[in-house]
Amino acid sequence: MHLKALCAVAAAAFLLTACSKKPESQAEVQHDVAKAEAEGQRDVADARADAQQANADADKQVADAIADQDEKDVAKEAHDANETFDKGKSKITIAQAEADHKVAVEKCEALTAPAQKECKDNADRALDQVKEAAKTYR
Amino acid sequence: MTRILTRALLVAAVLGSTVMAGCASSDGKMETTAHQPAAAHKPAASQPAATDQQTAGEAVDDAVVTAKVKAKLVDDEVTKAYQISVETFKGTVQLSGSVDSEEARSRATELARDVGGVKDVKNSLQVRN
Repeated sequence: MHLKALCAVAAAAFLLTACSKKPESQAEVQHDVAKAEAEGQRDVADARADAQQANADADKQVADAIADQDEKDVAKEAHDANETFDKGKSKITIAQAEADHKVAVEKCEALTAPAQKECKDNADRALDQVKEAAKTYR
Repeated sequence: MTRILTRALLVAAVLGSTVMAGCASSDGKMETTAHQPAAAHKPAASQPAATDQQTAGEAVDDAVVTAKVKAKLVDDEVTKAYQISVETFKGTVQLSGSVDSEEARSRATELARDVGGVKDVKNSLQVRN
């Protein structure tokens, strides 16, 4: 019985220690934020480049269909090109939101435990909202 | 005295010819100016024509944009019921034809604007009453 109580107290103490994470120093936060910003910018640039390439390829398919004077094919390729464009737009939007999320989370590290959790939850919610909205592009 | 008179005559002759030459060149200039509007009109008229000209690449791009806008209009529940004419010039899309409602008209603009490669949309769609 004593052992069980002792285990419970130990577990509670462990959880309390783990949860009450100390805020990071200002310098650490600044470093991590800068790193997250750089990573995010790279990810967005990659998403943008991928989308541009995909759009160019899709447009070429449409141009080829036009050159072949195949109306059905033109309609199909044009439809596909529109889908490609919408997907690309969605991916760029999500990449941007994820980049913003990374930075926001790193900034949260400067806060103390309860505020930090709320800060991170807000960041998560913002990301989810953008992801949900981006689905309508497709 | 005769020398002085001869010199004076020579000077007068030189001055006179200079003035005449000046007048002649001024007349020439006048003539040029008179023709200027026509001459200037030509480049002015051809200037927009030059900017209105499309390169082969642009023509292909515009054809692709037209096809994509048409596909978008056909895929949409609101606009698919109408025969909407689509023309594209240097990325500017011109919509024409007629639709039944203002909603369909604005939806067509919205859809066209959302197509990749579209720079501007001019909506000439008429709303039938």
